[in-house]
Formats: sequence, C-alpha cells, structure tokens
Amino acid sequence: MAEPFAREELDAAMLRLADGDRTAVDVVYRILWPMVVRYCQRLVGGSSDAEDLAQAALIKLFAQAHNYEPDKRPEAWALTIAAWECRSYHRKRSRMERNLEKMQALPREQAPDTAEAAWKGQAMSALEQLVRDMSQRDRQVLVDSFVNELAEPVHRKRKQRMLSRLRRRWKEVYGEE
Amino acid sequence: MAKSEAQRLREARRALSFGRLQLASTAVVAALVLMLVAWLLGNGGKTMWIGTLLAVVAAYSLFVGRALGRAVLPAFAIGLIPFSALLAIQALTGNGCHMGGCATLCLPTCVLSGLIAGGLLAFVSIRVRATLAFVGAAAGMIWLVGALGCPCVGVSSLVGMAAGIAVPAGSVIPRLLEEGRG
Repeated sequence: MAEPFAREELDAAMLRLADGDRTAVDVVYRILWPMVVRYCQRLVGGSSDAEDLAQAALIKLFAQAHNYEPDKRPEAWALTIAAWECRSYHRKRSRMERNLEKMQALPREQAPDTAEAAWKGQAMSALEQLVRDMSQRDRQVLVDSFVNELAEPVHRKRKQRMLSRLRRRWKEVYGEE
Repeated sequence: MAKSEAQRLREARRALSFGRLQLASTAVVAALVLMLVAWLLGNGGKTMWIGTLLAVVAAYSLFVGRALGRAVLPAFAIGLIPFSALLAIQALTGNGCHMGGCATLCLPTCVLSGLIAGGLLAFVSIRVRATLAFVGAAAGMIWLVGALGCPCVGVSSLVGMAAGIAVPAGSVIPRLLEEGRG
C-alpha cells in the first residue's frame, strides 16, 4: 500500500492526470511503480515477467486515467489491474505449457530408434529449456505462430523477431546454429 | 531485456495520450450526431463546415484536457438550447430562409437563445470556479453547437448569437480576474 506521505500526493496527482495534466505522469508513475512491481512479483513468484506485467498494468491505468473518480483509491485501482494481468499471465502460461507438452509428444511418437533421433531428442530438450526462459510475450508469439497458426502480417513480424531472438540465444548458449 | 525507467515513462505518457484520444473521439461522435440531426432537419451545406469545426475544436479540447477539456460537456449541454430553439423555429416557420417567417424570427431567436446560453455559462463558470480558458472555450463551442441548428446561418444571425453569448458570459470575466483565475 502507499506510504501515508505519498497518499495525498498520489490522490492529487491522479486527479490532475484524469484532468489531462501530462506533468502528473511522472509523479503517479514513481509512486505506483514499486508498489505494483512488488505485488506482481508476489503473484507470479518473483519471475522476471513481473516487471513486464506491472508495466502492462500501469499502461492500462494511464490509458483509462480520464475515467478516474476521486472516490476511488488509485493504488487499489492499479493493483486490481495488476491482479488481472497476473491472472491472464497464469492462464496463458498454463495454456502454453499444455501446448508445449503436445509439441513435445509429437516427435517422440514418430521418431525412429536411431542416433539421429537421439540427437533430435537432445536438441528438442535444449530448445524446450530455451523456450522456458523466453519472455512471456515471446512465448505467446510462439504459441500463436505454431499452435494457433496465426498468419496476419503483424504476427509474421512478431514471429520473425521472436525467432531471431531465439536463434541468438541458442548461439549464446550452445554456440552453433 | 529489462526496460529503462525512461522507456517505461515514455510508454506511460503514450498510453495517457492514447486514452485522451479515445476520449476525444466521443466529442467527434457527439458533433457528428448533432450534424446529422441538423442535416436531417434540412440544414444543408453550411452544417457540414460548422459541424466539422465543432468536432475538431471539441476533440482538441478533450485531448489537451484541463480547463479546455472540462469545458466540452457543459458547452454541448448548454449549446443544445440555441440548437433546439433554432430548429424549433425552423419547424414552425417551414423549411428555408427564403420564407419571411424564418427570416424575421431567426435573428431574434439567435440573440435570445444566445443570451440564455451565455447566462447559463456564466452561472456554471461561477459554480465550478472556472478559469478564463474554460469560459472562452465553452463560449466558442456553445456558439458552434447553436450555429449548427440555425436554419438561416448568415453573418447577422451568427454575430447576433455570438453577442448574445458574449454579454452574460463576459460579465464573469472581471470576477474571474479578481479571484486570480485568469
């Protein structure tokens, strides 16, 4: 929760923000950011995605700032949005893990019992590890591209960027393409 | 890679502007609705120009916010007085300014409805502890909303309505200046 000294400052800045005063952005952001990050870290288990989720929550709050009502507590509003973001994150993550399991099951069923199959198995587990380390956004792009098979131009561009990041990471970890 | 604070603040500012743009689009919709009503009731070509100007001014005011943004809602609400009064005159006297009834009633209705709207604006300005920017922006938008409903938009009607709005609305200006709300 906000420190008592920041409460009045936050309420006043939030009112200014709702009124369209751009100079209040910094004040509101600096008060809410640590609070929302801590909350997200608690909800997603201290993962590095917590900052992304906190940022997404604050962006939604700023986009809706004109709807702020003085009887609402800004920090409660921010934490509600953050909780929603974290819930969506958990949902997406569990959906993605299910999809990963499906993807994992496919080659094993079809793989012939050869050295190549063993190498493929190793490469696949290395890849799985890299996918687990990817950011939440990149994992969603992966699922959208290869499971949901979305192919609009915007998805193609995201897929391209995600694959180049994945290749770069592969090179960093395993040293070859 | 983690974003820097400057980057995150930039995104926050962009989100705020995006929200204000969404809010501004409601003013465009309101102006278009008034324009459509005026057009359906037979006010032709000039309606489009006045409506477009109203949409631009109202959207800009909401986007910028502060005193200008706060002026939009009262301006539309008060502007409906001259708007509906003038459309009522049109309905009573028939369509078109070439008819004598319309021409003789138009100017006094413009002035009278402008006076009522200006008086209301002065009252609201005192109640909400408005600034000069608020009064100016609201008066301009009231005038545009009223002009949309005017079946006989001519220079005299528009000047008459502007004068009608300006006299009572202007009377609060010394008080605002006195209270340091310039």
